[in-house]
Amino acid sequence: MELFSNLIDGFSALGGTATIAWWQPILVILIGIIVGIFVGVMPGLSASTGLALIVPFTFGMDPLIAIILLAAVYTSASYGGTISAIAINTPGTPAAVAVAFDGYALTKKGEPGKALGSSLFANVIGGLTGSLVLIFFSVPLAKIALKFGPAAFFSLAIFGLTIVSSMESKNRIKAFVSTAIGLLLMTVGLDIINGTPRFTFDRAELFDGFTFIPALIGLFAIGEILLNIENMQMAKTFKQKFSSKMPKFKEIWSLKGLIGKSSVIGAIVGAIPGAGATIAAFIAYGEAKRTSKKKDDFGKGSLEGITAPSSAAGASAGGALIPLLTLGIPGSAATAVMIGALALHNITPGPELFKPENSTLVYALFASLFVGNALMLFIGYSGTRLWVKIISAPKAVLFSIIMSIALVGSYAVKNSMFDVFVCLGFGVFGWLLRRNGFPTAPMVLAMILGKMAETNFRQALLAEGTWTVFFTDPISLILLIMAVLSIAYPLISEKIKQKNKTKK
Amino acid sequence: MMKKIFLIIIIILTTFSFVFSANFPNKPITILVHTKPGGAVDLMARTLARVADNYCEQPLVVVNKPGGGGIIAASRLLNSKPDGYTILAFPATFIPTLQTTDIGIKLDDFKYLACLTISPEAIITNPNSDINSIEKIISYAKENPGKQKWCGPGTGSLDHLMGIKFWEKAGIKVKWIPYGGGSQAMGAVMGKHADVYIGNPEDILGRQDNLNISAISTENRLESFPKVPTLIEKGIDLPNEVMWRGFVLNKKTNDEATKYLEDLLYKCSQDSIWKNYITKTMVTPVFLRDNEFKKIVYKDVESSRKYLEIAGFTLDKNASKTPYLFTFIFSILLISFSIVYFIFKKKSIKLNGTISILTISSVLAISFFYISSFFPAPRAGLFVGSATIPKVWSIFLLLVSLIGLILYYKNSAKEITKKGENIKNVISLTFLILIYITLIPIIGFFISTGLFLISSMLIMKYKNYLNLLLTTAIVLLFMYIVFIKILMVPLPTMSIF
Repeated sequence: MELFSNLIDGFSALGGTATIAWWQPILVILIGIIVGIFVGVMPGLSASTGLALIVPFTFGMDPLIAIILLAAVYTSASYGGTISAIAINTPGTPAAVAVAFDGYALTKKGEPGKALGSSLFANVIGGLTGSLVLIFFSVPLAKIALKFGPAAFFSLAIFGLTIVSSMESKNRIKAFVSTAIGLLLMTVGLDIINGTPRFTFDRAELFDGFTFIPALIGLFAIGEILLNIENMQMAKTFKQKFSSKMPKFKEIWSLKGLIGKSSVIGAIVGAIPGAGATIAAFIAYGEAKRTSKKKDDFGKGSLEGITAPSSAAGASAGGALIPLLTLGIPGSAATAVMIGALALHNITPGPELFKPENSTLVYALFASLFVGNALMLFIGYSGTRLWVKIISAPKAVLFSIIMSIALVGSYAVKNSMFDVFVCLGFGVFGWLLRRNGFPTAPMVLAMILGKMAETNFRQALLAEGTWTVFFTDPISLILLIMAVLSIAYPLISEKIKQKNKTKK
Repeated sequence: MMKKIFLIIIIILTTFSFVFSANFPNKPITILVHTKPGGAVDLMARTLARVADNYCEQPLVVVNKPGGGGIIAASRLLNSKPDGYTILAFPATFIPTLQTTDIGIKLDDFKYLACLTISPEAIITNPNSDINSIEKIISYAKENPGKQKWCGPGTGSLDHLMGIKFWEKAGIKVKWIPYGGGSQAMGAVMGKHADVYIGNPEDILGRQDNLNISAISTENRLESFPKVPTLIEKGIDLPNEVMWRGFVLNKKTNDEATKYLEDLLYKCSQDSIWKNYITKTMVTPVFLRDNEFKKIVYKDVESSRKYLEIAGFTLDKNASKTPYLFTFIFSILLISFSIVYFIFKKKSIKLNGTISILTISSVLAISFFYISSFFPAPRAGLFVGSATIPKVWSIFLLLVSLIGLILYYKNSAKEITKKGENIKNVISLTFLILIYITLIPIIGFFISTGLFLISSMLIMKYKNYLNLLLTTAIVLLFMYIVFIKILMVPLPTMSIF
């Protein structure tokens, strides 16, 4: 019951304290959400950039105000990323890649309002679920997170890679080729274990490998535009009609089970440091497709395919705060920035936060997550019309603007011109692949998981000195079994279907 | 409408104007940081920039140039004009980086401005594990040689060097497991996946339930951790291992600017906000001027050279060059395409996109395999080295590409090949982008972006010229406000002036 009285204290702190005026928390959350959505939407800017840039402004603030501002930026960036994924097929954050499949497909059908709306609802529900999990289950989940050693992380990465198999049922072999290219490209750079430069051709820019965000922007944004203008009759500046109509309540309500399940997946996977939102979104997408009754709609604008990854991404924001707040370990780049920012305010993330003298602060943060998600629903809802209006602009104008912003975004990640060329290179490459039916999403997934798989594989072998560690570590064993099932299940179920068909 | 355009153009033009004044500094000073935003060094630089605002009439702007463990940031400093407007945040982690990479940057290329903070190295363990003090570390390691797991960020890093020194002085043999970053390594010790973590005292803050400091490398105990023993007390002679953070300039910088910056840093180091911040992060604020700073830098260089060699680093990096690389790739490319061409000719299938991509991916796989076979062999006792995973992925790629080719050969009739409708459009747009990004460093970001936007819309046959100009102006203004004013991203400006 102490928990509830603490939470009530937290909510009342948001209404103002002796040192904080009543309007300050709400205003700060509003600003945080707008900043967060903005950095999420812009390709090349991410939650961690947004946080790092806002930190200097929090110096003079009350610690409570500072912490809820940072949390608002952090949580809303994941929604921002899905907006650009749905509207222009340019995932603003890596997690939004999984939302782009069906979200952008629905936009192409002329219903971006429906896609954006369902993604917003799913994201908010996910955010609320993630906050609840954070409040009630952070201690046991933190214990599980600590149990993840190198072997378990390796198996998690392998399990994540096998999702490709269920994602792409038509062109499975092409999806595997795309995955393998992604894995191979991720080995470029200094080898973390030995420090050997690999495939760098003595370019210092390649020592850390290809920068991920420019590659992602290239594959999606530039690739999409090249694909579009190839099929476009340039003589006519054609316009497509887009509807900003939101999904009906009934449509969303019918997905309540799926959204709930995906939110829980998101919160749990998000709590594992280093795994994060992207894997959660892909797992939720794969799981939604596996259990769906309308498998064939996936990839063509299925609402299930939009809501599952959106809610997982929303929930993983709350999940990623678990190791941060309970153990003091950042689970992602963005939470790493939050640790530094909190240190400036004399707040050390970790168990001490929950001691009585600090508890108002941490429970006010929890309360702000609820208020923030409610406000995000409102802001996102009113923003939808704006996004639809933007994408209704003539293609020539829209494409030119997207291209220039994509290239600046690639530059901004590391302030490097080399990355701008990387973005263009991957753009042309992505266009070549996609016009020949090779999907690029598996390559992105492989680029996210490739380094994680290799580093942890070698760390596990260094530490234990034997191959058996992947099977003797219980978490690793479970994940490997899941990986095998996830490859085998779609193959077997298709075979059974074919047999049934031939019988008929 | 025309008035609007005129107004917007004027707004953009005024942003290019410069204000000239005589003395240093007459324009913003850039602080280069070698990490992404949010790291410890980055936050220190950002705090310094903010404190310096009270003492300097020009703003200090933090610019992140991550990559190559600091090489990118260091070479950026050495390649910019030595006028004092570019300084580099220079932590001790640069020392091993500059020694293990052969990129032509020497420690003599820098002018050492000042060192602002130091923090001792700490041996950190898990209080809930059996190994949680120096005595236990040593006795366990002696009973089980080569079994104890030590971890920290990277191989050949500052913390790794500290470990090597410790192992030598204590006479023990252990395993070193490098992690991508400090927090991942700490997580491993907290979850008992590793036994010892090497870091700094501030690392355990907020994590005391799962981490404790076994010893620190100072002469006397720290005020902030009075119960933590020093290594000397435990009979290990390492009294002076510190992680320092300072700032450096290009060596050729003139004395006027150097003097100004040194005074500026001194004033900042005495500021109460600065001192407050530094104590909060549990490091010790100091102010070591050029020669004292240089002394600790060169002392570290001396000892790191010795211990890097013990760790098995070859300090000359001419190893692992691939012989006949381009000849090899070219001939493989030629051979594969001719094989594929003749096989598919039998079925009268022409080389189309799918076949070409599958062939190229096979060539890619073979080339990566070929290059990796020249990587250094795994160290004694290990069966997995730098080359293993690239080889595994290459074989995987080759396999799926070949299966793809076979399947295509069998069911080619099923696939409907799409005819390229307007490949010309794609090529012209790609070339336009290429010209655009080549021009950015030459004529500056805003002019080239403006030209790009206009010509790209024209290429796409957009006919409403008024809207075209208006859009360009609005986008430029938006980028100026967002990237320059709010986010302070240093977009390239004109370099021909």
